[in-house]
Amino acid sequence: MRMEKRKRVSNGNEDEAVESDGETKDGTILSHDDLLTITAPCHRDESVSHVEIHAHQPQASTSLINNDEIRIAVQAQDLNVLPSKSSLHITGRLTKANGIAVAATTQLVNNGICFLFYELRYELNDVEIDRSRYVGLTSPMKGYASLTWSKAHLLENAG
Amino acid sequence: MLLGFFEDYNKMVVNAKHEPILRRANTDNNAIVQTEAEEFKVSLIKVEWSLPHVRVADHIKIPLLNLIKADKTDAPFPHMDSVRMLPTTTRHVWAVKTSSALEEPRFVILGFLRLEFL
Repeated sequence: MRMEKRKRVSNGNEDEAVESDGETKDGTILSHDDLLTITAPCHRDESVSHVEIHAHQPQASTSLINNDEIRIAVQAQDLNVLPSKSSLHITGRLTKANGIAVAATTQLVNNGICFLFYELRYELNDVEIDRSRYVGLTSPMKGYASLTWSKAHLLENAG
Repeated sequence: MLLGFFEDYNKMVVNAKHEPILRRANTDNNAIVQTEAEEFKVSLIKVEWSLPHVRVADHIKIPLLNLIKADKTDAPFPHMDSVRMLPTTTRHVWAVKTSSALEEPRFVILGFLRLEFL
């Protein structure tokens, strides 16, 4: 009895999906409408016409030593941007104090780049909207809880 | 992935001034693991933010611009904050965080660190 009920419900869902967008969620079954509208014109979605990635840098006078605040301001305001797909690139050098290479016994820790920073803030129209302190600890803690094993390894030292 | 805003707000942001701010730690010792003591120096050469700029078709742009005139968009995202506690007593009551009604804590991740963190 219970089985039957469940079956009917799943059938009901399937019918609903077919009706609403012409195919089920995995895209295997097409409705008759879709198969038979051979005269339908070709639609192209050009609402997003172009995406290009720009690199923004902090002001040239910004120094990058300890305790410094590094602000990367995007001054142009007539832009549509996608912050969720943005990335920070940090290039640096690990040396002895006199500039020669360190021995193999000195290495960056896991997620070491983040440990170089105390705090990460994000300002939108000069209003601070998000902030994370102890970035090197916060992001892996969140990552351990929410990422899958392979994704966590994919990130390596990037978060 | 470092901020909740970047991780979860997957929409485009229209006509705003963006400014990520990084503050360098007062020491680089936390970023380094050593099996033999040795002096070292971390010198950053370049910090760069790659940000995708989106160009949209005109018929999309007009409603977007009208939206700005209306000055009304919600941007919900979770915010992650870390709080440190370092007392060495055997008993401790930890008042973690007071927050406004607008943001309420949903999840708490508790971690223990064995190594010294400066």
